Amino acid sequence: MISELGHVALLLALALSVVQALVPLVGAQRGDTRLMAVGSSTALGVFVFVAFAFAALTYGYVVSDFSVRNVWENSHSQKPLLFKFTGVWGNHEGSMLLWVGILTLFSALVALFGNNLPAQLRANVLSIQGWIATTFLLFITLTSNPFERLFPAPFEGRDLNPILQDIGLAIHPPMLYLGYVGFSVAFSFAIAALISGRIDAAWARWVRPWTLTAWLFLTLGIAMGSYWAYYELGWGGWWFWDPVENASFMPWLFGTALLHSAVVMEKRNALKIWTILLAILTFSMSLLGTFLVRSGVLTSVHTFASDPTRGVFILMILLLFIGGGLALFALRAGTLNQGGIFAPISREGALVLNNVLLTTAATTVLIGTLYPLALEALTGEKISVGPPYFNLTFGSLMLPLLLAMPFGPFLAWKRGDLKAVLQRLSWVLAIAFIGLLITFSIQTKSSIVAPFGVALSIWLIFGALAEVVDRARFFRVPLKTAFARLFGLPRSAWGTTLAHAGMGITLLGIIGVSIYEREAVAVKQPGDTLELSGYTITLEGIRPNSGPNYTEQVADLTVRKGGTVVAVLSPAKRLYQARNFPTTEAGITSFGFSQLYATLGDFDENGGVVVRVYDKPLVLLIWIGALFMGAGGLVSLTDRRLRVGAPKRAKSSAFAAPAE
Amino acid sequence: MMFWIVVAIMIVCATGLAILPLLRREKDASASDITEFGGDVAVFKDQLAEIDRDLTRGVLNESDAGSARSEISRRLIEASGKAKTVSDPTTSSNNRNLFRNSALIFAGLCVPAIAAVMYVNIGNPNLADQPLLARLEAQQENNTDNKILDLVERVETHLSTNSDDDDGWEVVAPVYQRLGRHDDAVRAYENLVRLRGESEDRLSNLGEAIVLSQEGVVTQRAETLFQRAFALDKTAVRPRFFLALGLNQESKFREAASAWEALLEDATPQSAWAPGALDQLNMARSELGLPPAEPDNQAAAIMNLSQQEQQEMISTMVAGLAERLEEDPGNMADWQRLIRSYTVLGQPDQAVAALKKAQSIFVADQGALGELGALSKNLGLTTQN
Repeated sequence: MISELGHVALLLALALSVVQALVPLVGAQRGDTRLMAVGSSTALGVFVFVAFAFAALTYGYVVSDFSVRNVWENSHSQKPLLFKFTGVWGNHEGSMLLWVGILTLFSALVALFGNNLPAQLRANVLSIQGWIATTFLLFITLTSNPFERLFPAPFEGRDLNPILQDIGLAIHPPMLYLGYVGFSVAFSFAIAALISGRIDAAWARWVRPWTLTAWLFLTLGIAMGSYWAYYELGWGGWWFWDPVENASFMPWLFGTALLHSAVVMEKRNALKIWTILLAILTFSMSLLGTFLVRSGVLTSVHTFASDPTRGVFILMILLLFIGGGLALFALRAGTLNQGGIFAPISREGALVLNNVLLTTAATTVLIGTLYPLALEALTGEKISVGPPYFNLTFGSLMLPLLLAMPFGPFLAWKRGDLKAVLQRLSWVLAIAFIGLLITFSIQTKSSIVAPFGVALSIWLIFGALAEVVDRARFFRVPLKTAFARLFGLPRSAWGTTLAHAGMGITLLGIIGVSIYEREAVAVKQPGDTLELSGYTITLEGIRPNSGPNYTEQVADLTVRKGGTVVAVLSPAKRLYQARNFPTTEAGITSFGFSQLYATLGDFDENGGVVVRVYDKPLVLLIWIGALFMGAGGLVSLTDRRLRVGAPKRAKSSAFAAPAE
Repeated sequence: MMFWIVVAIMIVCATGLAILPLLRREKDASASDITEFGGDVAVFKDQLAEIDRDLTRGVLNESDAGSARSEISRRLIEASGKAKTVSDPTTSSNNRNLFRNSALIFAGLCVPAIAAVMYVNIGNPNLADQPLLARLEAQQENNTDNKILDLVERVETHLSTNSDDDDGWEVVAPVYQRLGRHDDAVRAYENLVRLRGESEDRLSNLGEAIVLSQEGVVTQRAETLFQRAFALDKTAVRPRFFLALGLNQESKFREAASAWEALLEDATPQSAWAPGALDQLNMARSELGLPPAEPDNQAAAIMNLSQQEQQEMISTMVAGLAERLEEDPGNMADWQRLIRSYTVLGQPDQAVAALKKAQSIFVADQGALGELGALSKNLGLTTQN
């Protein structure tokens, strides 16, 4: 009964979302408050019913009700309870339900806390959210229904794909979806502004926190996905420029641009139309990401063509929202008020540079991701666009962006003085130069790129710190006053510093692992040793072991440095019985921010095994940097102040600094 | 019934959410309303207040605050000017009611209709939940097989944390084999070999499980195992049988034929494997262009009898055996053979009776009792004592 009630709830959510999509829209057009009020009540209702449906499906997983096809396909009675829960969204149908669940949660939040929004704006926003919910609920019920039943029920389920049975991947999709779907709010606000033909002052105040929330989750979600791929897939790579990764990275790049332009809009009432366009583009990338991952188009254009129901449906959703959104933008953007003006060298100007570089970079990723698909669809030729393309195009766009990053926060609003900023940053430049020299002299591998990369990282980290140090007026006022000022700084300033420094930290990790990584591979018998980066690694033996739903062969590797045991690694080859699915479990140990990473290859006839050990210097910094970025977002989000940017008057600009 | 009541409640709630705001009184609906430019005015006022707060906090200095203030004040004046000029929407109340009523009808009908029509088409209202536990219980009432499954499940849970418990693996291995879970059987026998060391029996069990899991193909790995088993006990039947089978599969028919012949030499009337061996021998012989083998020994002779005749003959022999034991009850090997024969003939009661009798005869002999215990365990016999 419960799974059928879940089904009914899902369909009621669909029906209510149709009302949510249409009635408030008419109300807003006609200025009828009662019709507009329907938006809020239905938004709450849709959320409650979707949540009920989700709970019903979860119940099916927990009690192993294999009469529900989705449960049978993706669960197993022996699966650990945690993965029975997470298995709910470890598959297509369930993850789409989660997607809609988060979407409707956000609509409900707008309905609940949107009292200070103009009624018309709120009604339009909720209506657009209703449109999105309707199309996705239709998609779920018509092509990917998680409540399809099986009769008679099979005795045992087919189990969740074993590589998904991992805590990292249990949290990754919800985070990612919170990010993707969070941008829907910015999108709905953008479309609402285009529909009503005016941008309320409350617009940016609302869009910025939503964008920041979405960006925060997306950042952490991507980082977690990357870390998961690193330790679970057993290749030891942290980013592959894989289409699935790119699908989440493109919204992140656009979202980062949106985040910055939304700040300009809120603080300075400028860049309004551009921000609206970015909001549309960012959510378009989220939809595209969902399409790429969910339609099956990535596995092969041909499998997509052979079962196009789902893919074509999502393609239509894409056309409706991206095409419709951009068409509406083309029609109505002219009626909107452009907003404030500013000089090219100014904080606004710096943020425009940020936006231009980020969106261009996102476009190169988009081309690299879609070109092979288009080519295969048109000519049948299969090509893969690999890291060289992305490293060259994306990397060369990131370089100026990162170089310019520390300047941005130092520039004054409206008119800036580049020379003065450079003076204030001169000590950072000096530290970066010292870092460059030190790296050159101590590096174990002769590389030209790496020392400059390290210097760039230092430039970013200290450049970010320099901003708060400068604002606290260290070295210009007594130390005590400076500290008092430091802690008195608005949390949004700390947010910027944390996020920008996080970028530098991540870069440092990337440089470390890409350039100084070492690797040793050999077939080893128990008792054999392997030398790598001063570590002596001994294969002590291979033993069988069994978990709740798998069996494994574990190799015990003892790591010694100078004769003393410093770590024990236990890489394994696992076999999940239900699907007869082998996986590789890496053995990882950390030394500071660096890691030793061991995996097993094939076993040979004589009891030997291929042992592969990597030394990955500073690799942890990649994700620690992402945590900093996330923390920056969170800190900034807790700053509930209104954001006001004080413009610099034309005359006083050159002598602005020490006027107290 | 319960189901439909809940569904009805859900539909009523959903429809209520869609239409209640439309039915509310005019005052309630417009009380907290923020007019278009009035909203802008409020935001700009908030921003001005924020500038003052930033100033006291020291985030802004006087001159910056001044320029920010004048900028926002300009916007504020502009917005409040617009807010005054925008008057209430001038739609007539007739027109307005028309829209409200159509919205009411649309929402009130659309919600139940969409949900009901779609559910009737794609739902399964009559299909109850079937959680695994409930299905297990339902089956347990009328199916003893599930007791075994239940037992297996318990042993598995135990083994998942105590993978070094050899007794557990021993119990579960033959059950896996019987349930056709050959991969699991392979794993169980592997663990037995690992924990108890190699013996002819354990190696053969493992080899056999591998062959079964590979749908009858004697793989390289199985062959190695049988060779090791053979080295441990050259008279054992199973290693020789499967090695010969492997030779057949590798099309080494000449060697296979001699292996089968040697094996059949040892066949006795009780050898359940003999018919299969003879088939394989004849297959090898026909590949070599030889006529079928002459049934030149007892086993082969039995094979030529009909199944019923075979059964009768075995029964007679068993009866003879029982009779012999009546006269000479001291022969332990014969007791074991008798108990095993009854089990093979599908007479477990007789087997249990014989077992009990043997136990009472050897009551003073611990070694014999141990052997009988092991035998009854292997055969799955239970004696209530």
